[in-house]
Amino acid sequence: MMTITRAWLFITCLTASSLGLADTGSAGRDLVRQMSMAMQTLNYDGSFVYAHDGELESMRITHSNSDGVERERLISLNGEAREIVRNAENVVCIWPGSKTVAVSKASPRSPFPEFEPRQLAELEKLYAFDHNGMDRVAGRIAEVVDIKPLDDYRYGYKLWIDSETHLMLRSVMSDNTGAIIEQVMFTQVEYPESIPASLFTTSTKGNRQEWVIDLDMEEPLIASPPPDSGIPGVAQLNLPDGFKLMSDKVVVLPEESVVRRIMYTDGLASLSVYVAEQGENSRNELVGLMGMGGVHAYGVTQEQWHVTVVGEVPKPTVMMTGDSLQLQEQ
Amino acid sequence: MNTIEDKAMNEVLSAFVDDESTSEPGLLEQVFENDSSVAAWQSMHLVRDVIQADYNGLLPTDFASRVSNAIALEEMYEDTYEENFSGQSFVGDEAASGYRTAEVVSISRMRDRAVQSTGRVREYAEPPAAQQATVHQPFSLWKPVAGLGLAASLAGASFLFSQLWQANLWKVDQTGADSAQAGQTVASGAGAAAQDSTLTAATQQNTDLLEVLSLNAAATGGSGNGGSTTLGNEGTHWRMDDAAARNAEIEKRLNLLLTNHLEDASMGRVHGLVSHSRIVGYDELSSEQPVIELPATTDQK
Repeated sequence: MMTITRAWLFITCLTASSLGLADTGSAGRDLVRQMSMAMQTLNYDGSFVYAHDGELESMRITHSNSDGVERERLISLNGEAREIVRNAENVVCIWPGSKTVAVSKASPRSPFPEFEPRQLAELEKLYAFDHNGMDRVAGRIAEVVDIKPLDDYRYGYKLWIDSETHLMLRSVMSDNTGAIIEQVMFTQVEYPESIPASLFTTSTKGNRQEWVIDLDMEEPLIASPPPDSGIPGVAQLNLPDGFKLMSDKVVVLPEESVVRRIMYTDGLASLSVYVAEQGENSRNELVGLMGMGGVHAYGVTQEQWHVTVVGEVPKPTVMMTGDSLQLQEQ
Repeated sequence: MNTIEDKAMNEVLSAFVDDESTSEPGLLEQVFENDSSVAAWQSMHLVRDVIQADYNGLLPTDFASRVSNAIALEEMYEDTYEENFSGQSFVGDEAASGYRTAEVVSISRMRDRAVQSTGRVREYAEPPAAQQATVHQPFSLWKPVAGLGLAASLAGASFLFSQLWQANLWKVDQTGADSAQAGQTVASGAGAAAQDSTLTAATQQNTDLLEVLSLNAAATGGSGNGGSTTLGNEGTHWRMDDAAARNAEIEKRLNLLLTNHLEDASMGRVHGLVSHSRIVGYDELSSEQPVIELPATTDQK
């Protein structure tokens, strides 16, 4: 009798514990989904710091959603007045110091993560979600969500989500040992009812120079479909578990020739394989590894083609992808 | 001492400060027997250093701003605990306990920074009695002056320690290892307090803020100078493991690829435009840095 009682007690405790873990996991996923929606639908204006590699940058972000139209503006508050303005059509990057303006096509935003049952099951093989209590960031109460990677090929995230508005107030990217790679943290944030559209005009004053971009002058940003581009796709490559093809398209980058981009994702982490014909000066093309905070890039060449693997993933991931890649034969 | 004795002592001190008298028997012991002599000692050193324009002491140039920040942090946490007292986190005795413990941690953190700023004072690992007393004051009485009092005690203590350091009266560590040990002593004290189960999330915020600013160990890692514990001054840019010279054309192209990538990346949809912080924060190749293989039209600052 005693044995049966103990066994029943053990099973009860185990079940309760499992349910508890499942509860915190599902709560974490729900919060991330709500955060993704809030980042797109809220009006917010705030300042935050971005820390990586021992460097610290301060920035201001303004975001509005008026009648379903998203507008965003991100401005560096130290150094040059670099900025990015994003609307439904374009993403405009402005570096006043070098008088560089880069315009690229904006992609339609969709809620994230799109947790279908099958996708969710696959994601849980790669990451552990956990709702990890409450904290206080930028003077606001926040829910804390841990997303821990289960191998060395992807980063984890710790997210502080405004408990009232669900805006992301802080995000820490770390590797699977818990070492911090980079982080952003709001120091102040407001939620205005409306934000004037004039705040999102694509002009900036940096170094006493004013830049105004005429978006109507831009050339089409999407080139012909991949099969007609003449750029080979990927015939073979080794990816970490869980990474699958997300998109394959050809884009025209500012001041660039046509580039084919094949993007893979595991549901959270993404990496892109860019294939382009080698330029006249191959020494100006990356061969090897470079990194900036949590982003890594790895460049290789194959015959007349130059391949760059870029993603918010650890070094081993881009290196494994680049070294194993075989392009399609022409 | 009476007035005549004070005047005589001041003359002796003045001569000693000016290096005109170095062998006065028992002088230093007398100096620290009463407050007025200590004050005179401090003032003379300060005046001398300022006049000689070599006031470096052991205080960092940003000491005033650090004290201001400490006061601001104190005010922030006091507000936090007011919220907690209203019922969000604590009730009854637990609230009082959490409040007191959190203050201990907060003070420990600032003391840690003070030790880092002086860098050599091992004995400062234990909190001064005045600070301990402040911690245990009733909330309603000490709150309005706690920040100022703490900052003042920090400033005064650091100043005094700097003078004691010059006089070789205080036990000091002159090696980096010993300085690190002093820091660890303080940090472990804070860590022990942080293990108290009554700590609030807001106290953790204190730790996190210091961590963001890379003021404690293992704050940052990643590529490039991974594992650094101090703020860098290189700016945001692409880094190679072998610290090879930067190439403006390569970096420019990588930025374009990254911008394109982030627009469709999964986490880009989670973070929104915040993901583009790397692009906006990016510091373009400066003309002061080595330049290789650049065409004549290369963009530079």
